[in-house]
Amino acid sequence: MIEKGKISTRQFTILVFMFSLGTSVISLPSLVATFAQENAWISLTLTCLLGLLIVYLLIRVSNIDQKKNVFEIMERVFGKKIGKGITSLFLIFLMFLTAANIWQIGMFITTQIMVETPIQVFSLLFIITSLIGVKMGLEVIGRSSEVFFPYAFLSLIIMMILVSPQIDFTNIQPVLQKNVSGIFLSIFPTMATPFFELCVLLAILPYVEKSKEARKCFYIGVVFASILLIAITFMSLAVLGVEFTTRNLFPTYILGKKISIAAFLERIEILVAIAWFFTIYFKITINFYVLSLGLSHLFQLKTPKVLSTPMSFILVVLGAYLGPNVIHYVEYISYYWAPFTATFGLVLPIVILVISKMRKGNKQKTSST
Amino acid sequence: MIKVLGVLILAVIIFLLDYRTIKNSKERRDKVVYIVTFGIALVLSVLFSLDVKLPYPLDWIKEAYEPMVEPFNNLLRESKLDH
Repeated sequence: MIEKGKISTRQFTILVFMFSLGTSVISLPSLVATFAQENAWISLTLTCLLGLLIVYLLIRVSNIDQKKNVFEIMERVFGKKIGKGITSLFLIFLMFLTAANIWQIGMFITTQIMVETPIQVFSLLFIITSLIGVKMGLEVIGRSSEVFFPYAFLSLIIMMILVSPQIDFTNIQPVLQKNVSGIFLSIFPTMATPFFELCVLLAILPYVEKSKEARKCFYIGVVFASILLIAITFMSLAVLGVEFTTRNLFPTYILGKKISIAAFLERIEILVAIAWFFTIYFKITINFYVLSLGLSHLFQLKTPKVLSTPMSFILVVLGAYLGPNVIHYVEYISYYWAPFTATFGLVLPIVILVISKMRKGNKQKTSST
Repeated sequence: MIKVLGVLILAVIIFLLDYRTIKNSKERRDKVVYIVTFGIALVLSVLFSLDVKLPYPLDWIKEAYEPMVEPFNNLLRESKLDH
């Protein structure tokens, strides 16, 4: 094992929560409402139930050998050469994922908050902070997530409580009447961002202290994030209405703008946005950390810190090329991001499980004859 | 020109600051991989600052998945709000 640090189970729950909530809060309500319209919250509930099945699949993959991270499991199941090939494909996927996340948060800040600053400033800020986190190691990342978690969680809940006087239940009616096929069709693109990307966390699972409790904590973190996602989508549908949620890029930010307490305390949407900065920062840091870990496993280096600095600049440039404009981004995450993530989040764990069972069957046959 | 000089000066500063990550390692492999990756990052940054048009990797992924996913995407497009 390259990494020698250990994180506690509570820190792991918080990391899972922040990871699956990270960019979903930004992109998900608008995406689901585009295809499922006023039944988006029903579609999202079904998606989260299916997401728990994906977590079960990932835990079965990790149970092949509880002390090895995902790259070592791939090498053990597939053999050295094919394992290295599949590891490099997985790392290319991770590079795209990290660069896309950096570009997403830069796009959010540039279009909504600081309009005249170029996007590269925010990309550089986020990636340099993540670089410092990766160089300090996994334990520091875990501990700092514990520090920031109450703020992120409470600010989202307080935002929902403060907006709730403006709920209009006629916006979600008629329930399950029009466009029923859209509910089931929209499950696939929606599952991409929160749940198929959870395969990245397989690389951190062996470094948690108590293995049995860590599996339960994986479920707990995902359930927390799902409940919060469903609640936020429900709120944005009920308060803003279907058409507004569909046409806006960031409906949750508009929800934050609607908070006004006694006509005195207004424009506090930035406090909600700061909660998002934290969740997206931890998602970027975990992605970057697993990328460095995978690279140092591929080239058999000593520590995961070696290749992180050059990679950070490659990621900034890649991020600028991934998003030429917003329309390309919206079209891409609706139709093409889901199959790409599904190959690594769904197909790859199934293939690993099937081949490892076949290998066990072969070993038993040769040992009994 | 000034942009390229700026990027080069930044690269030298970062290399000097970061050298101690591999200074103490005994294997040559660490140093070689680090320098190669640093060179790739430098070339990409210089090309990017000169506004050279590099090929889009996302288009390759889109072309790779398009034949499989197109029927499902057509169904999705029909269930949008204003189709």
